[in-house]
Amino acid sequence: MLTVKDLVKHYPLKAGRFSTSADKIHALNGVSFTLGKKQTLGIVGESGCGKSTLAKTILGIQNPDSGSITLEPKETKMQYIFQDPYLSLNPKMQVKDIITEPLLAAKMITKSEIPDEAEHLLELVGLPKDWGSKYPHEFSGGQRQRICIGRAISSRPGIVICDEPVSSLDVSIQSQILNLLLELQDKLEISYIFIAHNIAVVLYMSDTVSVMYAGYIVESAPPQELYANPMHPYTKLLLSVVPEIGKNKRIFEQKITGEVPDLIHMEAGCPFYSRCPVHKEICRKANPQLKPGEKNDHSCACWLYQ
Amino acid sequence: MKEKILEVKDLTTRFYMVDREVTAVDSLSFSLCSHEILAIIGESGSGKSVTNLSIMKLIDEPGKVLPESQILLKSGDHYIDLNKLSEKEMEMIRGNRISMIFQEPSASFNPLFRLGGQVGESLRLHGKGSKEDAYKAALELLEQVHIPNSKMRAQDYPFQMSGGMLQRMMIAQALACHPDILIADEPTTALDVTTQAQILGLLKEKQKETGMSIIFITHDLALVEDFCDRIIILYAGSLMEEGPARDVISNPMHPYTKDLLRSIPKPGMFKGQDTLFAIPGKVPDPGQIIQGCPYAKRCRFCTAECMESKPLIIEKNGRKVRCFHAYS
Repeated sequence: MLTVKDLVKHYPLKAGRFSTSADKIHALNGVSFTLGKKQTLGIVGESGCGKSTLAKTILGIQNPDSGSITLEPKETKMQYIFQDPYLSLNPKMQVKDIITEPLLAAKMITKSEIPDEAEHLLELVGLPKDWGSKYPHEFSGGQRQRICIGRAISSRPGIVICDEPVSSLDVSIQSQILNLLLELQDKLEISYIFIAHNIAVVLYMSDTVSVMYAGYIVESAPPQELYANPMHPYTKLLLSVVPEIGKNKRIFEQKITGEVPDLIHMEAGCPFYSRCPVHKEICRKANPQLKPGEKNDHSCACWLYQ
Repeated sequence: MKEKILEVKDLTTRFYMVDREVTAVDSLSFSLCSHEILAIIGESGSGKSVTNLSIMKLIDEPGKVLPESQILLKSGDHYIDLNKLSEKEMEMIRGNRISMIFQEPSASFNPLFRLGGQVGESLRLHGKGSKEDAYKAALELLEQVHIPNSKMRAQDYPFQMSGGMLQRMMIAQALACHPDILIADEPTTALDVTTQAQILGLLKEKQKETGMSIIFITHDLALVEDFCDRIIILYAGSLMEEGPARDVISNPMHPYTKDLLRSIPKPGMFKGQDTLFAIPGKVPDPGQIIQGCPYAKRCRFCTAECMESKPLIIEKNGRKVRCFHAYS
């Protein structure tokens, strides 16, 4: 449904008044993947790994420097769910107008159809259908995120990009929203690109999980496989530090060295080199490519396996 | 029995708004022992941050810590009630005997001053040395929290540091006067998971070295199981459950704790195979008048009596739980 190939996006830094050369932030350094119908691609990574840049570039909010984004069929609609439902709803609009705005913009309905359509959408996202004339401030965080989801699915998009959709919500609300997203996927046959920093959430939501680091996908596999047999040292690190109830993981005793790489002055080798506990000589010199391992659906960019 | 270093009795903090009164913390009692890490867990609006601001006497108008609340801090061989201290006396406690670190390290430093000076500031304020002494001490502190090139980094401004490094700076600042109690309010929420693990490691290391006690405030139940000694679970300003960390996690007694544990996605849960439990409903609005148990509306075990009156805390076998059905 969606094929992304070698996507590159570098943000130029403003040159100072007296400096001649402008540096760039290497946000995306060649990202490729495919997304099938009714599938979820989960993208997990830490801040600065390029996951939000990827989302914005796919959606066309930003133009990539190079690479291609192909939709199949070409008319496939895409929508976006943002992290913070407090910032992404217009406080001066009634909920029924917010939730149907994409339909109106796409001329799929006329103004007179708004109330009916809004009722239907509110019901779909689990809100009382007569709440259409309320304003966003009358809703709690979880309810607002439901409105955002309703707005995103209103025009029956083929693909919805969810950028950290639950990380600003309370723990007891998060699972409601995650389950709602799964339910809607089933009902409306939506494909998701699900972006989050919490690997547990991504594993639960996805059909394929890609781990991003410093603008690269470093590992990609179905969630069960990734969880059972992580290959890349960074994936192993992520899994070892995610808090897990009842496992006595003592994450505070994990030895973690180094810092996230400098995205402005990127060096030649593997971006994870400086933090990698098992690096070899070659890792400093050349960056490994993402290649399938023994199992075809499990690929990894690491010299240990190439 | 370890000695109690802080004892909070019937802490009630109320905000008097124009149109309503909001009881953010409702007669909360707990104690903190020496060398202990106590976790206070709660969602937004549970009162966890207000509790800790009340202890520090940082509640401003229209909020008020009710006069019958007692916050007893051990001082030598007797206890002083922080709630009765004047602002001047309280200044001698803050940053000296009780320190705080916050969620957003970048918002907690003054952006216009170099970090080294800010880290040593509390030493100067508490009359423990001159500006030069404080700066020297700050350099040592930075080394203790494992900041590489600490001499150079002390010259940096806050915007030049990553979130993790800045959180280390804040810990250094908080430790400057060797406090007895460190209150850490969601210290890792804004950080990446790898950085979170490092900061937790640092807190544990410093706690062991100095023997201080830590009140660790978080919304993340998964974080505290092996990191903390004891857990307090708050909901809508009330204590719901308290007990040793491991016991509460492995054998939760309050339905809220049980539900919360089931609704956290764990690695190893997959779509199509597992269904994540979702707690229905939402957290009560602040100021909403609740007659019965605050959790009743969302509770699977709710009965008529839960809607009518608020259950009292039952204390048994080192555990506290506020539920009519806990032992039935």
